[in-house]
This record gives sequence, C-alpha cells and structure tokens, in this order.
Amino acid sequence: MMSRGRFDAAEVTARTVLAQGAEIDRAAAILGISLMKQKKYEEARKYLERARGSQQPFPERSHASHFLGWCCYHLGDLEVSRAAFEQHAKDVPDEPDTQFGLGLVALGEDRLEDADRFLNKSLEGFSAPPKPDAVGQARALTRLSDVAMRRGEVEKAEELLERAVKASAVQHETWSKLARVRDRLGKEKEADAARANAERILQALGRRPAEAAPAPAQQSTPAQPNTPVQPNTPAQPTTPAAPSKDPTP
Amino acid sequence: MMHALPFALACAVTSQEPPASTIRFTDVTAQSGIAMTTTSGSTPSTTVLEVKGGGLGLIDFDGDGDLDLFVPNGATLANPDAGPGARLFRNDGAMRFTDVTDASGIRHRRWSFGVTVGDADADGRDDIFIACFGPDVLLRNKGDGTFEDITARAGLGDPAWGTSAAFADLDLDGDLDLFVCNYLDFDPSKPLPPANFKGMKVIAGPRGYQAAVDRIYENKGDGTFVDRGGDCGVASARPGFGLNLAIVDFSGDGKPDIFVGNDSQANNLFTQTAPWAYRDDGLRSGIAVNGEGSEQATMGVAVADIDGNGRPDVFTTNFSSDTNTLHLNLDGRNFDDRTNQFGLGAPSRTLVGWGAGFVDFDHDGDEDLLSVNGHVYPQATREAMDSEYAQRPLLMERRGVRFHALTEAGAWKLEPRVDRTAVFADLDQDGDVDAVVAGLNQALQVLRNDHDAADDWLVVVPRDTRAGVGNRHAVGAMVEVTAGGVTQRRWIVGGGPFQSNNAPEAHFGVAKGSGPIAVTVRFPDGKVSTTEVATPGRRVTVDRAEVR
Repeated sequence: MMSRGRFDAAEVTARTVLAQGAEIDRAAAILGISLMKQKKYEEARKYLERARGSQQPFPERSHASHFLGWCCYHLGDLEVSRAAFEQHAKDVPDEPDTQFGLGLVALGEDRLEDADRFLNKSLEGFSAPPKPDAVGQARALTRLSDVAMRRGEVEKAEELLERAVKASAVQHETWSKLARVRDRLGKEKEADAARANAERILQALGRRPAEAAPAPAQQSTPAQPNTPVQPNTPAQPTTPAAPSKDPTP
Repeated sequence: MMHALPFALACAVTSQEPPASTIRFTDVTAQSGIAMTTTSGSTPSTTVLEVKGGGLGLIDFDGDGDLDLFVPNGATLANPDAGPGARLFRNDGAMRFTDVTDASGIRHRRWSFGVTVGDADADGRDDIFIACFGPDVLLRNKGDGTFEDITARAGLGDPAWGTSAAFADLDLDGDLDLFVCNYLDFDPSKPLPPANFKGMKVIAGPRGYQAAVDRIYENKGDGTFVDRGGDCGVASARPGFGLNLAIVDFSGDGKPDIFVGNDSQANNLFTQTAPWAYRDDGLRSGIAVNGEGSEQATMGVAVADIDGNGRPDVFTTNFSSDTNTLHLNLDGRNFDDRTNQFGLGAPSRTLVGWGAGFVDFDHDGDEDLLSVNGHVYPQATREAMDSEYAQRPLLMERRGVRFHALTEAGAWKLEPRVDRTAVFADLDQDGDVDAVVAGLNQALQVLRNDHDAADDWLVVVPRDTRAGVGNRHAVGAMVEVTAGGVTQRRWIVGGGPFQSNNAPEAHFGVAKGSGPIAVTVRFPDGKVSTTEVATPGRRVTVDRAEVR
C-alpha cells in the first residue's frame, strides 16, 4: 500500500495492527510514515519517535529518524528536525533526501555555507548511477538557487534553475522561481514564459480555476504532474518526497 | 556615513547567550473599562462569513491628544444587519476608558469588518469609515462628541463584503482618498458545502466563491467620493479575495502605492504611474507570492525597514502549515522573500496569523514583532491539523539580524485565544506602545506595556494643519530619526494590522545618552522637515504647515 501511494489505507491497516498488538513497533513506524505522507505531522511525530527508539528489529526503524526530520521541519521545530536528519545521515550516509532535508533546515536557519554543502551532496546523490532521480535533482538545484539568490548571485540562480527545469519540468516552484529570477534580470518575456509554465502546472494540479488559464508558453512544456491533488487546501510549502530508496517493505 | 540600525546591531552579536528579554505586558482589561465581547456569528463558526472577526479603530475623536478606541463589531447569520452594535470607548488616560457609544450617537449595527479613520471632509476632525458585509458606512465626526451617518451623501455604501480599508491622499491633492478591500460574494443562505483540509471536512472558502472587486475612491475635495476603479487599473486587475492593504510609497518615486493582500491568491502591488493610474506589479515585483511561488492567505500586514536600506519592507501573516512571510523591498521594484534570513518562518508554521505590528517594545533601538493568532476551523487540533484552534500570540524580539520567539512576556502571552487583530499605540502616553487585541466572539484584551523607562524613547507625530487639508495625519509620511550615529525609519502607513488602522505617529526606542536626535519628516508631498531634539523621552509634533 505504501509503495503504491495508498497512505490512507496503510494508516488504517497500521492502526488495526496496533489495536491488536500495541507492542508492535513496526506498525507504529508504518503508521507514522503514512500519517507523515498525509501531512499529519504532529500525529506522525509521536509514532516515528517511538519507532526510532524501538529495540525491535524491523526494516523501517533505521529510516524513522528521516521521516521524523520532515515532520519536525513542517512543524517548525528546526532544531529537532536537524538532529533527526543528522541521525539518519549517520545511519544511512548515502540517502540524498536526508541531505536535502539538512539543506532545507540550514536554509531555514540562514546557514548558507551548510545549506550549500548539504544541497550539493544531495544533488550528487540524486545524480548517482545506477538510478539517477531527475525530480530529486530538480529539487536540489531549485534550493541551490535559493542559496545563490540569498547571496545576491542572480545569474547563477538562473543557471541553476534552468538546469532544474531541464532535469524535471513538473515543479511549479522551480518555474516560479525562474520567473522571479528572470524578472530580476530584466528578461520580461522569458519571465512571463516561465510564469506561464508554473500556472499550467498549478492548473493541472487543480489549484487554479480553468478560466485563469494562461496562454501556452513558448518554452519547454512541463509534463503532467504526478503529485496527488488536494483541492481547497491552503497554499502549502514544497512537500518533500520520501527517501529515494523507499524504506517501506 | 549613517548606519542602518539592524546591521549596526548585527555587528554587536556575540556567541554568548543573549540576555533575557525585558518585554513585558500586563493584561489590564479588567481595570480598563473596556468590557466588551465582540460578535462574529456563532461559536463554533459554520461559514466563511463568521471566521474573519472584526477590526479595531484608533481615533482621537474628541481631539484631546490621546487615542480612543472604536470597535465596529459584527453580527450573526440570522440578522447580519442588526448585531449588538459598534462601540466607542473614550480614552481617559492611565489605560482607563469610558464607553461613550450612547452619547456619541453611533447606532451602527451592521455586520462590520474593517475600520479606518481620517478627516474625510477636511473639517479638522477624524471621521470613521466602516467596511461591512453589506453597504459600507461613513460616520462623520460632528465635533461635539457625536457622529452622523453621511454614507449616502458622501457617495459611498458599496454593498460588497468589505474587509480592510484605508484613507490616504492617493493623488497628493491634500484630501483623503479611500481604498476598500472587498473579499467575496457570499449569500448566507447558500454557503458552499464543506471543503477538505488534512482529511477533515471544514468550512468552505474562499476558494469556490467569486472574488469581489476592490474599490478605490477619489475624494472630490468636499468630503464626497467618486469610484475611480474603472478607469485607474484597479478594477481591471484580476479580482482577489482582498483581506488587507498597506498604502505607502513602496517604489520610492514620491507617489503612494497600494499593496493588497489577497487570501489564497496572488497579492497586488498597485504601483502608481500617474494620478489615478496604477499598474499591478504584484507578480513582476515578487510580492504577489512567497519565495516558493505559492499564494498565501495574507491576513496581517506590517510595514517596516527591516534591512535598514531605507525602503519599506512588507511582512504578512498566513495560514497554518505555511509560514508568515517577510518580503524585503530591494530597490523599489523588486521584493525578495527573506523570511528565513530573519528567523520569521519556522515559529509560525503551526499558527494561523492575523493582525501584526512591528514595534520597538523594549526600546532597544530595533523593532520587535507581535502577531495574534487563532485558527478558522473550530475542529483544529495539533493532532488533526498540526495547529490548535485557540493559539498564543507570537512575540518575536529582534536580536541582531534575526527575530527570536519569546515564550515569556507576562501571563497574557501564555493564554491561547482565537484572536483576529490588534492595534498598537501608546494609549497611556508613557512612552511605550500598548496594544488592544480583538478575537472571535471573545472579550477584547487590553495590554499595557510595562517598559516604563522615561528617557529612552521618542514619539514623532507628523501633522498637516493647513486649511482645507484632510490628510491631517500625513498618511504616507516617512519619519527618520538619527541618534548616536544610528538611523531608524518609520512610515505613517495607510492600512493597519488587520481590518484596523495604524496609530498616526512614529514611535522609536532611542539609546540613553546618545546625544542630540535629528528628526526628519518627509511629508507625502515631498516637503522635508528637519529638526533636532535635545533629549529623548518626549513627543514631538512636526507640522507640514510650518515647512516652507
């Protein structure tokens, strides 16, 4: 269920298992991950903390700190988030999404050198054979552009974002940031084209009324996003993906 | 060369643990004479109309030099035109107020949201404009302690659901023009079916409703208004769910611009290109969305020069599972989301933020930030939505570059409430800035700032007492104070924390013994007054009438 993205069903199953055997920490881990994937971070947090501290052997245990890191990030608890990601980085050193998480925490704390280092390491991991992760690369490059912008390196930010949309064109954040950067560089037409692509993605996600459809963009056309849609939901920050190596069985 | 304050302070930051905050407020509601529970539908809320609450108005209606309090108040779905009614509280000094509603002749009972204050008819007295669900209202101050409803005579009374509003001299002709944010078309008998948030059924809106067009009015000079939306570029912008605004010269070209915060939609930045000609630079400037390109809820708006570059930056409060946002004004044309740089993002993730204000509460020479919070969904809990229904206020103290969330500042800080707005002013005129907080179907809260030092503050009061001038509070003026080589800036901003107005004065913390203080006021028409004040601890009025 987890690998198919059926997190609500996984939640029900995990709760059922826990009801029958409250001592089964693996069920707590599955429940925590499924709740986290449904953006119920506070409730997920307690199950992931339990899983992380478990003495029972099960495959998800070593990844509980990763998901706990994301929960705490979304709850604004950057200190605990950082500690959780650091723990996971020790346990699973090659996980690029954990490096990405550490990069976002560093950005949140305005530690630019650390953010640069973690995000580059994340990019390296997402680019590594045998299975490079294009979406992961795009996300890392997009956040590296944040570091560049924060440093006032607008041209570098544009270059990073252009690499990001080449890697994966389905992230509306990336197109939006590219539009913003091009505005700053006085490239109005190119900015409008990037903004139109961001709008098209939002439309495909159901986050725009149809009548607000912008004219087709002249730039490369983004593919249909594969992110689940949650209509009538307030604006959300970028949602992290799971670790690229799915820890679920 | 003068140094901008924040970076001067940043240089002084050490690795040592910062000293404990000295910011302290005391809840003096019980002794204040303000005993009022506002009305906004029923509890728990069932429709979008009931969740915004109402604003607060600061007005010196009796001309005695201190700020009184006007509360427009709401109503209920059963009878939106006949709620318990607005209230007017006269400031008697020492944080004590008297309810003078009956004597004032104010009989306003329509469901009200925003309030703004200004001398609409240039007769030397502040009037009250109320943005309503239903026709807006203008109350004229007759000068004898009473008000009269002159809505129809003034050419106002737009029936759309108004939220925030602001008076400002948009065309710089001396009188006060008016901007009204309108929210959405809502029929109480036909609310949308519930929406979904984090797997729960919740009150629908604003998405799914039709956004209402904002209104921009020109004052014809005689206290009557004409709607200029159709020909100035405001009405032709894509309608948004307008919730709040700030009017000040963002671009630095001497003309007032208008920032409009829209709920869950791109914000507008109406840059004035010529009198009654605006261009929406929201998207192009970067202020329409946050740094992720996401539209936000944008309830509270606070303006300050956070990075010390001399330009007004914009802080907005937003929904839970999102963050509040600080847009730095880089050069008058470009804004950059620097929320994280200043530490303002993470502490707000579990909050639904409303009214907000930058104020130097502890007089250490930089502005701190107070925002009030509370969810819109009655069923909100940490477990269900990562956010409680009743929430504590967020008090952020500036320490060096970054702001730090304070956990202690008095018992009031620990009390979870369902707040919607706050106004900030030196109500007892002791030199520090106090606050009044309004929530949803709950008692108003009066907070006294207990800083109480006599010689570490300065209040600059820009005025324009020239005959026939309605913009008597110099809305749009920039006030600059330099003491000990450190420069601080404030603006008299049209608009307010949320559905409320800002105090028409500029408050500064000034270090003791910093020598003479240079005070510069740039009035909306570009005229500049420069004066020197020997010592802090005083209120200084700077009148445009005395500037050649």
